[in-house]
Amino acid sequence: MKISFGGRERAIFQGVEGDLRIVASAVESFSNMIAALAAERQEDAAGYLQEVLDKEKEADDSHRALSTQIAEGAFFGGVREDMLNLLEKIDNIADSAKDAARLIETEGSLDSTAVSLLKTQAMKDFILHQRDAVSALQDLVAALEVSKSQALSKVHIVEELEEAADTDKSEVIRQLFSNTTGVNPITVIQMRDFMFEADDIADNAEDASDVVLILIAKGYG
Amino acid sequence: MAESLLLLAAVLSFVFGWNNSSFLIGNVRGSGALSLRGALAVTVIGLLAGVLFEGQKMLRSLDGDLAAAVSAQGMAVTFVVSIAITVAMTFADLPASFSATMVGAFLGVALALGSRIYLGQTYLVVAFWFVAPLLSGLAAFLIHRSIRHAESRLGLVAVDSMNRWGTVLGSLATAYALGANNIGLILGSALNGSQASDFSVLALGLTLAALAGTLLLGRGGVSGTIGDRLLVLTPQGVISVFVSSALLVWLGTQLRVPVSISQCILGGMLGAALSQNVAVINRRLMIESIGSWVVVPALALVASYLLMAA
Repeated sequence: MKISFGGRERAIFQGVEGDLRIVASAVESFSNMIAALAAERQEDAAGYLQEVLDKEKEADDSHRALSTQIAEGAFFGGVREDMLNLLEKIDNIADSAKDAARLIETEGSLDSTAVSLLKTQAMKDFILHQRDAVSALQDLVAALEVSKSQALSKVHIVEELEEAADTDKSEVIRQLFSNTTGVNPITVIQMRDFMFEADDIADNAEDASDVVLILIAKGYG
Repeated sequence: MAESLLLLAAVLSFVFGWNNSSFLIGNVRGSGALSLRGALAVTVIGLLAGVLFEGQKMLRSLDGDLAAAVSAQGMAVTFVVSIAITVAMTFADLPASFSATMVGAFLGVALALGSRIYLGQTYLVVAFWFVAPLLSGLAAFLIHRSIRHAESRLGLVAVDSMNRWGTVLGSLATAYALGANNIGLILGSALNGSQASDFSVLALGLTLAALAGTLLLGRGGVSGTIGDRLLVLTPQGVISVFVSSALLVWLGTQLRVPVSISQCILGGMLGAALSQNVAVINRRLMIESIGSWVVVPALALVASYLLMAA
C-alpha cells in the first residue's frame, strides 16, 4: 500500500535499494571473476576485477550521498541511526567483494593448486551462496516497502544462506589443508585469506539483515 | 485590579508555556517531524483554536464552580501562589500539575475568605485527577494497539509517514486541549466572573504569552523530563500518549474540570509501555511525579490560605 506523503523518505529508501543493486552487481562481478580464474581466463578475470573496483567506488559514492540526505533531515522517526547503520553494512559487502578480489588478483596465472581449489564443487557452492545471500538481502529490503509480515518472512533467509556459505568455507579450507605436500605456502596463505575475506560478503549481508530486523522491531513500534 | 489580574494571567501563561514546552513543541521537535518554526505554528494554531472554540467552558471553573465568587484580591493571591509553585517546579525540572496548583490555591483563598465551597464539583475535580491518568493509560493502550495493527499492513516508508503526521496531529490536539482547558482556566480566573467584550484579543494575548514562555525558556530542563527520562517509547507510543492525553483533557473541559496534562501523559505513557512490553521505567521519577499531584495542590492550598489570612 502506498501513501502519497513522505516523498523524501521514499526517495531515500529507493536510494538504499539502488545502492544495494550496485553492491549486488559488484558481488556478481566478483563471482564472474572467480569463475574466469577457475577457467584460467586471465584477461576476463582482470576485466571483472576492474568491474568490482568500479562498482565498489560507485557504491561508496551512493552510500555517502544517502547518509548525508538522512543526516540532513529525513524523518525516519526513531530509526534514523538504524537506516545509517544499514547503509554502512551494505557498503561493507562491496568492500569485502573488493578486498577478496584483490587478494586473489595475480599478475600472471594462478598457481595450479589454487586453480584446482577454485574448480571444486565446494568453492562453487561457496561463491553461489555469497551471491545468493546478497540477493536475499535485496528481497528483504524490498519487502520492507510492502508490509511487516512480508519482511519478517524473509528476514531469516539471509542468515540461512550465510550459514550455508560457512559450511562451504569449512569444506574448502579442509580441502586446502588436506594435502599441502609440495604446495607453495604462499598459495595456501593466499587462498586461506581469500576464503575468509570472501566469506565476509555473506557475513555483512547477514549483519545488514540483523539491522533490518531492528528496523522492523523499532519502525513498527 | 482587573488590569493587575490580566497581567498576572499573562505571567502565569508564560510560566505555563515554559513548563509545558515538552508537550507543546518538545515532542514534535525532538522527533524531527517539524522545524522549530513549524512546531511553533502548530502550537499557536492549537492553543488559539482551543481557547477560542472551547475556552469559554472553563471561564467559571474556579470561582463559580468550586466556590462562590471570591474577591479580585483573592484571585490575585491564587495567581501569585500558582506562579510561584509552577516556577519552583519548573526549576526542579518537574512538570508541575499547573491546574491542580491553581485549584489548590483557589480553594485556600476560598477557605480563608469563608466562601462557600461547592463540594460536588470539588469532588468531581479531585476524582477526575485520579481517574484521568487511568483512563488515559487505557486509551493509550488501545490506541497504540490499533496503530500497530494498522501499520503492520504498510511498508516501512508509509509507516514513517504516518508516524510523522501522527506526531504533528497529536501535538496539534494537545495544544488544542491545553488551550481550551488551561488557557481557558487562566483567562476565566483573570476575568473573575466579569464578561469580556474583547475575549478573542485576551485569548490571543495569553496564547502569545504561553508561546513566549515555550520559545524563550522551554528548550531544556523540564522539556525533556517526561519523554526522555521516564521511559523510552517508539513514535507510535508517543502518538498514542499525546492523543489519549489530549482526549482526556478535552473530556475534562466538557465537564469544566481543570486538568493537568502531565498527569494524563504519565498514565498514557504507562499504558503505551504496557502495550509494547517496555520493562524499563524510571520509577523514582514516576513516584516523584505522582507524589507531586498530591503535595503540590495541598501546598498551594496552605500557602494561599496563609497569605489571605495574613
